[in-house]
Amino acid sequence: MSRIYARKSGKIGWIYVYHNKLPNPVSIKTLESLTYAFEKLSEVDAIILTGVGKSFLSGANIADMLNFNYSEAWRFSACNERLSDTIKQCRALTIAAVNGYCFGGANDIALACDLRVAKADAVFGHTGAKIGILTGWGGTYLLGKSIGTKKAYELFFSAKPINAQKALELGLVNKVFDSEHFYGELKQFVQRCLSRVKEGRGILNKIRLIS
Amino acid sequence: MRCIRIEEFDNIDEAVVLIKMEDEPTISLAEKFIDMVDESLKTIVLYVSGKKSLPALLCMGAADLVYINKNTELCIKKEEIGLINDKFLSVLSGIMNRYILTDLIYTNRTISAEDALRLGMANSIAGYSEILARFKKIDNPPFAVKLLKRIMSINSGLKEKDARFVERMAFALSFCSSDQKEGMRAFLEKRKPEFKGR
Repeated sequence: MSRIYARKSGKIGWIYVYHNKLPNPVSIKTLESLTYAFEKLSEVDAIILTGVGKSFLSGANIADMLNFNYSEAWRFSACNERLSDTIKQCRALTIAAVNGYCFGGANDIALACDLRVAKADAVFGHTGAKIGILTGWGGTYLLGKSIGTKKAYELFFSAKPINAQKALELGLVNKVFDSEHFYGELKQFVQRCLSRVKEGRGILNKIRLIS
Repeated sequence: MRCIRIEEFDNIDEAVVLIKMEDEPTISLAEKFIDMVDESLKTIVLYVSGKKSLPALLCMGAADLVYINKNTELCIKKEEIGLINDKFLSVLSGIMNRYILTDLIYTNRTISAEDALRLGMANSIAGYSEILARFKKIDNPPFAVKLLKRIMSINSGLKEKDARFVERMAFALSFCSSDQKEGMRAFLEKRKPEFKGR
């Protein structure tokens, strides 16, 4: 399974997802660990979720899902509910720093965060239609709200990956940073956000409730 | 994929239907189209060109994917304002916010193709031949895409918590389809899937 590392650096909490062979797949265990990491970093002002290596996160391991029946698929979908709720209830501003491939349910996890930034060579894809499923972690709702239902339908229907620039044009991400200086630019971006965190905290939870 | 005119929408078997709208449909045809799309599990792709008004806007709101020609201009004529009932309002609100709709009704605004794209009313601006070529290449979509259409339509009117619940049911249901098994096997075997739509 993918490993989760969490660390605190001043007022910023970092959560890293890492797998030594696969592109950071998300299993039920990964979701539980991510939830735990978000809960543990409750005292910071901003939490950055990112991946290690060439991927941010990818969806579930296809081999694990192949023989799911209705109940198993239901449980797999439901287990993300706690992570989404935890992210939503976070005191901190949550930022998905998409450092590479972001496929399937990983997009739903990124959309659960308050802001999304991407490395210039990041790739986004809702490829469920290629494997005969639809997304199960809130994406049909969150992506529609984020970029509009027609454009969201197109991404799901075509299952074609898009690059970071296209994601920015669609409104899927808030910023795209140069690949070579990604983490440097990300830190500066987060520092700018933190300079307004005191003023923003009161309204953050209300913004999260806007549907 | 099949290409038709809007009048021919009934009795189509294909999972993906491309409709080329050159002439403005009547309001009654647009209403019939809305009802048929609402009940259909097909993916409806609409191609719009030229000057169009309320009936075309309604069809755009009902369709799943909308592509427009660069010469497209959209408006609501004065005599059409009185025809906008609750059902039409609901359809129009799917492609524009209330401020744009008010603008169209009260200021006689015309929306250009660029504006329509920027406002999220269309997926892209393209020539018909380009869209035709793009959709001709599309293979039969899986059962999950049929579910997706309904789920996105239902979820647009729900709160997040309820929308997640509906999505979860559809997600679990997609695992009861032969297309899910075929799709995942094809992925693992590094080959192209052959979906049956069930």
